[in-house]
Amino acid sequence: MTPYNQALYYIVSLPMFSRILIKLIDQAIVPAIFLLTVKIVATVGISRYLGIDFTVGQTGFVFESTDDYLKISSYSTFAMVVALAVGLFYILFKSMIFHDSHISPKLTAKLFSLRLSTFIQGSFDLYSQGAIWMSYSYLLMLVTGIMSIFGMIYSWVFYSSLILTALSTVFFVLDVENEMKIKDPDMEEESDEEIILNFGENK
Amino acid sequence: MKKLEAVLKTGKLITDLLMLLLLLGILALPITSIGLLQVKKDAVPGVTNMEVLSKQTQREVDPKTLPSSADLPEDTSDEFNNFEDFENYLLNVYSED
Repeated sequence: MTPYNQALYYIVSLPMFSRILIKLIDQAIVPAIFLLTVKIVATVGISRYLGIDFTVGQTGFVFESTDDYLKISSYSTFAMVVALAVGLFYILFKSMIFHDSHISPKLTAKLFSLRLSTFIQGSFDLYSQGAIWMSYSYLLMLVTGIMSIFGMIYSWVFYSSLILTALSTVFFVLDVENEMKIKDPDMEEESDEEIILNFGENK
Repeated sequence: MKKLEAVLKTGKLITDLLMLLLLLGILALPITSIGLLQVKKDAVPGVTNMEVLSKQTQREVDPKTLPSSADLPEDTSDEFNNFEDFENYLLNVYSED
């Protein structure tokens, strides 16, 4: 093999883009658009419902008084938290029930007969989706926390975001632990191994 | 060959960093939407628009008695620094009468 061919082979075999980063970017776009839409629709909808006037300027929605702002900001952010909860629990549900590593044969057969085999997903897909939704959850918790400190939203919005983040983190970690046990069964065996201490009784 | 390898690795690193930035930008997008909501700059905390309007009293004004620009002295400046200056000027002119 000539040096030119060697170099060409090297370039072709080298992965140009990180597979994980591409997957994360791919998975992040839909939730971003979804959350943005929820925020805008919730702002307009709740303002209409409560009869609060606003003007749409170059910088966004402008409210006449701070009370109106506080109310709409809190309720629309809470709508975002609810949308995030829906997304997060959908991912967690998929990773606990439809995960290809521990889906039951009966359910697999049922899904195939219903032509819903796309519901069965692997760890790479599920955990990349989970990581993205969890990132949104943590970011939202951080922002609502700061806004709550400065009195820009009601504090219960921050608490709801905190509870959602804590719950989803616990479920996510539990699922990852289960997955690790499935992938490495020795892990469980090692922990259950009995150790008998002998203090020279047999001498 | 080693030089090419180093160049390719640097290129990959730069690409990865740019992609990481893109990912962070996408992640920050819905969160920045919180900043879309603003309050009017001259709004008073706890006071709604209707409360301000309800406090205003209706005054009966005869349009014929309203001062017109023709009544102003000839040396009236065309420009004022702000509305307050203009208001003070008008008050001075009409209080002299």
